Amino acid sequence: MNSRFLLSLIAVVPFTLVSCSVDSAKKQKLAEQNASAAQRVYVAPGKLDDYYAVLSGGQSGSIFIFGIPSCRFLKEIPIFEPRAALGYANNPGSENWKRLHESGPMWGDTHHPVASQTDGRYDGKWVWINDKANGRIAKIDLKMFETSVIKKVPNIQGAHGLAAYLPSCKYIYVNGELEHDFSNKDTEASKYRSVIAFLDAQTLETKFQVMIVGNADIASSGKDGRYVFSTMYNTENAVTSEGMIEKDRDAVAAIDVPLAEKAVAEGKATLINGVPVIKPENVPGVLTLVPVPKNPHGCNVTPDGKYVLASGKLSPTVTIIDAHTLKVVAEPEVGLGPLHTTFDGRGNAYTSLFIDSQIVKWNIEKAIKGDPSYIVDRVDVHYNVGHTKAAGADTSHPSGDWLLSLNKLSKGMFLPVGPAMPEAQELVDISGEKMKLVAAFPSLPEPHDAVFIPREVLADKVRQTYELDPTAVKLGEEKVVRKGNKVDVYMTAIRSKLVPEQFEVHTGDTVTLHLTNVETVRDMTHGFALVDHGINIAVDPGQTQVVTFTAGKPGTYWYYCTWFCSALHLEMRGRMLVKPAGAPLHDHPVGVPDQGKARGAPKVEANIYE
Amino acid sequence: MSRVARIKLATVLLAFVASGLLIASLTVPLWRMRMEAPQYRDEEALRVNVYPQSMSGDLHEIHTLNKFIGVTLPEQLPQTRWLPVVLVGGAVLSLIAVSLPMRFRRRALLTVSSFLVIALLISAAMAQWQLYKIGHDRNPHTVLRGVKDFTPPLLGKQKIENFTVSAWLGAGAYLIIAAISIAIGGAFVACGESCPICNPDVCPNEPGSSAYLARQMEREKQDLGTTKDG
Repeated sequence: MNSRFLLSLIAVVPFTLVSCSVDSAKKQKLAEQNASAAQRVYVAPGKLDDYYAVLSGGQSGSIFIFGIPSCRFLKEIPIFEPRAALGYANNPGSENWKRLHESGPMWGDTHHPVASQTDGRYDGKWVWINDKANGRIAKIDLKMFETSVIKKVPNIQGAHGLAAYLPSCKYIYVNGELEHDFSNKDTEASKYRSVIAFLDAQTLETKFQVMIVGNADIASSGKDGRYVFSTMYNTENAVTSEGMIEKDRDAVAAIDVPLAEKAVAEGKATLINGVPVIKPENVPGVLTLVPVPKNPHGCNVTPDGKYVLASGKLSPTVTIIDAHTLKVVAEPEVGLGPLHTTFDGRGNAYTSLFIDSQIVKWNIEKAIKGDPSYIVDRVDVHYNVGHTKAAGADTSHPSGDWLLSLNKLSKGMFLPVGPAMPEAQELVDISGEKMKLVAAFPSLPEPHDAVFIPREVLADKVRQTYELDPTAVKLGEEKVVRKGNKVDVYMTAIRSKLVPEQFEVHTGDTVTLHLTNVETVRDMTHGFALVDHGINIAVDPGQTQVVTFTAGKPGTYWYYCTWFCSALHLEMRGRMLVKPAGAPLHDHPVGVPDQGKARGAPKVEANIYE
Repeated sequence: MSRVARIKLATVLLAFVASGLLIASLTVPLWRMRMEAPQYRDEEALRVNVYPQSMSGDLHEIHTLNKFIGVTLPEQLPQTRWLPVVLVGGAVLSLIAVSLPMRFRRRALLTVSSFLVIALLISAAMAQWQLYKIGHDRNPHTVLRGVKDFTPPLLGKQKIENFTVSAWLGAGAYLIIAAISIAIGGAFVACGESCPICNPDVCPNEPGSSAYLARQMEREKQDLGTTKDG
């Protein structure tokens, strides 16, 4: 063998071996890290997650429910937009359609889910959420995970920040973000005002409002029943983005709620569009503006209720304000684009940094004392994080285990699916000193904020079937009732029949279908789709759904079950027979004995093997 | 081929190569910059390519981002107006230099080379000043507060807020450097004698010519003299 070749072999082999072992050591370490992250979020099939993460659906107008830590998608609760699959507000003439239609457009932009609390802990009763676009608030019933109330808030355009007045949750208050003239519809910009509106938490009726100059942004309540806080930008009252950043300072607004209630009781408020509106100049002390660097964003009261933190957005700082004296106590620098701050209950704050694409963990007391070591840790998130929320951070008892980073851009985090990319959420383990990013999961557009509700809180509350209500159609009592051109069809659904299996109407009749799912076992949902009429409903066990529609041209229209239910799912169907006007109508099975018999008692064929 | 003829040919060839490289340098970037951030990484990193006559790259995106920190990127760098003229001029002048009588070629090529070197240095100095201005001469009514003044690197890597900015010479710069080196090489290949006529028969550098032999003898005499003295 050539000696030169041997020499080069001697030189190369050890080098290759060394580089290989460095490489494999790196790979090994990465594999170990991945394995430990995977273990943190792994929830075996059939096992349940520890938390319900309630995410706003943004422009989807809904709420998304994910299980944490597995990041599994569990449910979408449609609120401000019809969802045909669930029979939600998609059928004109149904109750949920009417309720949504009467409150405004059939679309909404949900931002801030707020969960109800009792004694500083989530009580698992309600979630409230805003519709920024149309100034509406909805209440979600957590027994059913369904929308129970939707109300339009008067005098508001752009209902943005939303929070519950603590500790009682007596009011839900919402920030008017888009200023306008609501008293006499003037388009002169200098007359524009916004309001912060206080709604009865149960009925969502607006009780009173406090007028402000500028735009109220994000909301967070003090814990002792006195002040509620909102960050405010555009105190310039400008209408261009340049004008909105002109002044160096904007504010955190603190509203003294008992004082506001007293002012309303004493008649110091002005009635505008049926709502008492307090003008702060008439009630000294009701509104205090604490100056902070211009255009702040996040507003978060610490779990102990001592401080309210305004995240700087355009300033790399978080302003710490004493929640009782309303004095600024510190303004630590945390990084570029601080948007929201959340808490672990161990004295640490976690601030989302939009521009740096990071979550920064910092110690609140150290920052106040001026200790330069207040920054504890930073973790990269992907990308451009908006809200961040740690489990229980809005309560007085955060759990300090999980934090969600709700990112605005996913930029290649997931398989490419065209230019409209999935939104990215990331789960960060905050149980240790160092943060660990352990999982990322996509969603529809676009979650803004989240609330974690522990599984135990809802364990005995969430219903799995409906209780039959008095209007339910009982098995065997199905009927068709005609009154002029109005037809009421009372129908039941049970595996695997929609009864009656046929009904007759005249073309143009207004048909109201009352469909009760008479199943008693959970998860046996039936659907009812009527071809060529745009009708689909979903009826859960025990539930009755009502839908009204106009019968089309004469002919046969099949209806069928849309939720796969049993081996005879495909056979679970029936016919709407539309007759020309004036033609005689028959109720079924009456009048078609032959067909009924033929189907009821099929003729037994001779066994061909005999 | 006589030595004189060979030198003549060599200078002409080198001058052609140098001017060819100068012309080629117009087609490739002179300088490149790359900006990386968490959301602009790998193939999505933002790039700026400065050509002698223009700028290209992710200028639209950089312009969008710059608005937040009050930075204005010049639409056109002033040196891109004259740099192409300099380079084309250099190419033409190198060719003119080697069409001159041999006795002028060395000086002519050295003049062209120094002219190019000076132009490049001026261009680089201007670029450094422009980079300084980008990070210091910012709109005071900027959107983001707390962004400290900065100077993006002319060469090398630097962290500027959430971006890591690296800059290095482009192929065009290397082509120009090569062209200048070749032109200087050509100058040294060219004859430094100031004979009235370039003629192999009378060239003191042409082995075998009468002048060459005369010079040889002169040198030998001198050498002998020095040996004696020593």
